[in-house]
Amino acid sequence: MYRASVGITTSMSVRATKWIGDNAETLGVEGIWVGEDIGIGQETSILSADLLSRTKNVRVGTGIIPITVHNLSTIARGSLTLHEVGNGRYTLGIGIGGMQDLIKHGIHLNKPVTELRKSTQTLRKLFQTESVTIQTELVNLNEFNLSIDAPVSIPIFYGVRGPQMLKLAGKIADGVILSGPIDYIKYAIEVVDKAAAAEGRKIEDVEKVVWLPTIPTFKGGSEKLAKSVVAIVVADTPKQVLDLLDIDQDRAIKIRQAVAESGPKGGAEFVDQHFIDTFAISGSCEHMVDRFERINELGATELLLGPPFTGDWREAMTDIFREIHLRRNK
Amino acid sequence: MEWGIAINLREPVSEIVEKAVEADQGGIDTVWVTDFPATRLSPVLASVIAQNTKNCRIGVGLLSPLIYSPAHILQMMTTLIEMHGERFDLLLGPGDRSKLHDVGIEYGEISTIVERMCDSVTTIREGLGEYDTTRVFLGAQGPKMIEASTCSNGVLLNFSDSEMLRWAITTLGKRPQGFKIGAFPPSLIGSSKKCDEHPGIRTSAAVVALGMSQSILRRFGLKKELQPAIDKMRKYGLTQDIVEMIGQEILDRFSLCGDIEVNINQLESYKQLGVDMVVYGPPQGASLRGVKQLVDAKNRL
Repeated sequence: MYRASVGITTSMSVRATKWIGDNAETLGVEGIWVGEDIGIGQETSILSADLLSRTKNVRVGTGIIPITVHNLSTIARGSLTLHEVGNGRYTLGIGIGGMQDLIKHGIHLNKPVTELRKSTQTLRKLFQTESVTIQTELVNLNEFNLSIDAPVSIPIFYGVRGPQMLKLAGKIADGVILSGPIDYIKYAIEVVDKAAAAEGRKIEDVEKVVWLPTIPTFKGGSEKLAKSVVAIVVADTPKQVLDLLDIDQDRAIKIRQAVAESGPKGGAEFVDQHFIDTFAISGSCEHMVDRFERINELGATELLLGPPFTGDWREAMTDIFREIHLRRNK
Repeated sequence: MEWGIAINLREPVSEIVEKAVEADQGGIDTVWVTDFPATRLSPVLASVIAQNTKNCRIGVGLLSPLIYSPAHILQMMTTLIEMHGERFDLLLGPGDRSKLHDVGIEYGEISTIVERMCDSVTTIREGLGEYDTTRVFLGAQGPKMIEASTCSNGVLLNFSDSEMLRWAITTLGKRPQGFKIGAFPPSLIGSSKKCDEHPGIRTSAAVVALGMSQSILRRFGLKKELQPAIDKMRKYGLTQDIVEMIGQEILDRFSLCGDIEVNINQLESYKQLGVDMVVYGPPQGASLRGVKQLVDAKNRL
């Protein structure tokens, strides 16, 4: 069994995120993950606090907050605050941030894996009431502490992609948030599990959250949109990654060329069901839940229903969660 | 006169909310939620307080643009407003220099700090353009920051002493239309204890006094008396011994303390000077009792 959750992004409207927060318990949503579109839309910590306040049993996580953009002391303070607001239901997801975002903000790290490891260790020390002095490429703290009397337990998840980062997640993270083609997800879970085992950890000690584009083709959602979304994802996926996948490589080249020449709609013409199932979760309610179960079999412990939210997405979300819980109760 | 109270963020969230609710129901106009070096994140708590209160405005800050970029602060404010309505004000300032150093942040070129603060205020005010009831205040102490504060909607001064406030208001000169002047001193109104017997107000007043710029200390003839304590604080940090080195008559100049009568007289004096608002700083909001005492003082006015 997997945890059935929702993924949202900060660029969504307040009205939409409030609806999700207000209806999560009724729908049977078990987690809400907030993806930070850096600098766009709602502020991540405030949005997370709002979701924690509107729910009682739902886990709320940030997936992810880039450690390259925020002072680590602010991430620690924000985490502590959210941990208290949610009575322990908050999970801190961190990562380096997307390549495009880093370039946009003029951020370059020489040793990203080392920085993520040291940042994680620092956060854990702070959560354990310790004072920390540390100077790295990214972090500079001098006898800083959170002024707390008792340790707090805040799980730290990673949003990462590369093999070294995945290994680090297996070694020290409480969980990992994965996105990418299905074959990549399978590979990433294997890398994480192997690293965890090598470290003497149980593989279930590292949760695996899978966040793919989800596009219902019912309740106003369309296959046309699904194909456009997949075309963008194919165009954005590095060629080296595409080469590893069990897909029609000629078709992939055609999709990339068409997107470059005439945008997603052009690329969509070449997207077939196999491509949709490789890069997204899309189709009828039953098909989507089938896909969730398939990814769960690969080792994923939590599956997200996330953007793009189109058509009557509220109805679609209701149907999908009903189907998930019906199957569980059978 | 607008009344505000700064809520201490050292307690658990439930206690912070309880105090804010008490202030809101008691008719306090603005609940200020302070930020760093307090551990908790004030914009997050401002959101939680907004969910639990009905009438009060909520002041966020002091937020330092050296910790959070102006774009991030703007994003925080617009998120709060879109979630809870136009109930929020913002206080900006550089923040405590030594505490910033603890998190790897330096003031940088000191001669440009005032200009940088005003640039941040301007960016944020422009970004908040459509929300015309949201006020952006600048926290100020020294003459340059006070003069420059007209880039904002108002200045909050952490003075309590009338002579200092008079000087600050004179330094400010002609103020733009609608510009607010506020006093934001350490406060303890309505406590049964005498001010010289209460370590909380003495310590809070000492923090402000010892953090004053040299030019202010010289201007008000305080340098000679405070310098030994300042030197010792630089070496050992603020300890109770250092607080004890400062005479009560000096601490009284940096705090608003006493019974309800004292408060009434002080407010009258502020009013005559042209002060529009008072934010009762710590330790008034450190306890639920302190909040209740302030509510009582307001209701008896």
